[in-house]
Amino acid sequence: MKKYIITASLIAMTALLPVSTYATNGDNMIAIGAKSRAMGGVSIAYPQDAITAVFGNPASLCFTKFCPSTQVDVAGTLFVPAVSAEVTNPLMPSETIKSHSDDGVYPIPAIGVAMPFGEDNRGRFGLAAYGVSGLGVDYRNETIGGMLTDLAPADMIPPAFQQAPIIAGAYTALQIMKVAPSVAWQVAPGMSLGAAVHLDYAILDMGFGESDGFGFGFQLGAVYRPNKQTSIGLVYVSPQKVTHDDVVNMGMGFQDLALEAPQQIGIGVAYEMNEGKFMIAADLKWINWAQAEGYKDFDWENQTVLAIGASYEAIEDKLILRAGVNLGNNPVERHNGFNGSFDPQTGYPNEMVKVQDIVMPTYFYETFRIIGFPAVVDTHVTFGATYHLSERFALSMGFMKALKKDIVETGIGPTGAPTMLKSTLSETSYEIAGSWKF
Amino acid sequence: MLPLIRLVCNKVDWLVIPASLLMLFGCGSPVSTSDTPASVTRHSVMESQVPGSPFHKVFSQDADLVVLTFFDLYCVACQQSADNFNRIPEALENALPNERIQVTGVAIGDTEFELNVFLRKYELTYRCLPDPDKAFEEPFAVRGTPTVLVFKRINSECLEIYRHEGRLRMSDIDKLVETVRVTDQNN
Repeated sequence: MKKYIITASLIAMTALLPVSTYATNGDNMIAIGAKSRAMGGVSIAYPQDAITAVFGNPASLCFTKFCPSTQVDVAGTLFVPAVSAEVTNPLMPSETIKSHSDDGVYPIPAIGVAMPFGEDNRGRFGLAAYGVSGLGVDYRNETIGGMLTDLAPADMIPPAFQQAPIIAGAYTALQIMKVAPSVAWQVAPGMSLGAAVHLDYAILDMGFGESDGFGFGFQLGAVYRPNKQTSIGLVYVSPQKVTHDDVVNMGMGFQDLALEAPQQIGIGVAYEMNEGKFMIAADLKWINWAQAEGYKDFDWENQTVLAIGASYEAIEDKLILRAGVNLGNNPVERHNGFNGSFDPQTGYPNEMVKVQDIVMPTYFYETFRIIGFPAVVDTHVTFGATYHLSERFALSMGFMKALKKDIVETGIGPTGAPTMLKSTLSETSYEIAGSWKF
Repeated sequence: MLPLIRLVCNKVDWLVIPASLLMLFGCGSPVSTSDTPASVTRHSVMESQVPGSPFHKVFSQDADLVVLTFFDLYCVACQQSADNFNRIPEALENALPNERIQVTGVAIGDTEFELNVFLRKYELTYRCLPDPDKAFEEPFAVRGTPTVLVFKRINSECLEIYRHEGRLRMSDIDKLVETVRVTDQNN
């Protein structure tokens, strides 16, 4: 009974532990679990642990190395993003204000279990809980997060701008946790189908206080093994919408904002050589940000992500080395030439943008997009290793570096002068995971 | 307690995910690759003379060495091990030319039809038996598939001298042969 309680507690802790300020493919993690993350995020054709199987492709739960075995994986990621921003001083356009977002180390937990069922062990249950998405910045203690009155004496600022912030989006935090029960069934010796229900819990803070909400969706997958060496996977993830009540206040009272995790389609292939000692895998994933509520309102474009990874068993039955890359594209569209100006007499914006039911001045809209949600990194390099300490237990470690990337947008600032908005993001993460087989 | 949990697991409704989680540790079967016997099985030669028993089906009276390969049609590691299963008889015959060797495959949980599908696809060259009721599982302490067992006839007993669990690779065949050779020398 004690073991059941510990497992249930781990799942609950994982689901409830707040995490934020991480992003990789858009605001999605490249993968869950140390093994997959160490291989550039490949997980569709040949996941190597229970967490990755549920995240990447539930159908692959059937293809474990020893049949049948129940497996429990617990993983922890320490995510260390480095975010900075530059904005033209609205009162002195020849000057640029540079700020670093409050850096932090963010723990991201994950747990997954997989167990066989069915008289001939053709089926697998899976259950995973993990942090899957997140993004945010914190410039509240930086110049950029202040008011215009912080930049110049009040008598030099037009009365209409006396209460105006330098940017909108100085503090944002989005975090999405998932619990995903799943089931997989081998319909033929080389073919498996799987499905998962995704239960999402999301917290969004756009600087006006946290608002949480729930969403759900599903995931379908298939894995086909045309021969003993090759595995081909296909996966679909449905859109998953979460409505955040009373999360934004643009001067018209608190309003709701819906954010929809986008639908995704992925295909993967894995090929084993030398009796499985060497494996190479690749995933191609299409993420439909452009049709996802919230993201489309902030004009994100679709992403095509290519992940390539390899593993090598350096010491038989003991040590496996892994490496990979994950290549995407920055989903945040540039709106060069935007007009973010305000009427200096009335203080009203000359142009507005409608985001769902929220009407935002264009300047605030653009600063929210570029400074508040800078999900711009596109190249990730990863490596890691697994060491089998015993027949039952293996320890995995991983490292990921998302190379520094920036986004620059130019237009007209609030005072009518030319302005430039720039965000720079790089990420480092460290993973550790334990796998138990029973 | 364990048999009770195992019984419940066999009847589990897969829609009840929380229940499956609670039963997780009770349903456990095997670990990954292993050459260490879970429990060394030792069988009297007399057992093999009981008609219809699993031992009777696989222990030939005139074999000095009995090799059993346990597999399952739906097990990927078994499919990947098939080529190496076929290498076992030849490897043993080459290493121990004076031994009478008998190799038998047991398709755990598979019907005859499923066994034939496996044999057509992976072309095992030795005698294989279907085991739809998993009658071989308990007597031979098979925790999962693939499993390879080697029994040596020593006096009136068939003693398990080698066990491999998990995907069988070329290097595992070398270990198997070496274990048998050492046992031979010691007896």
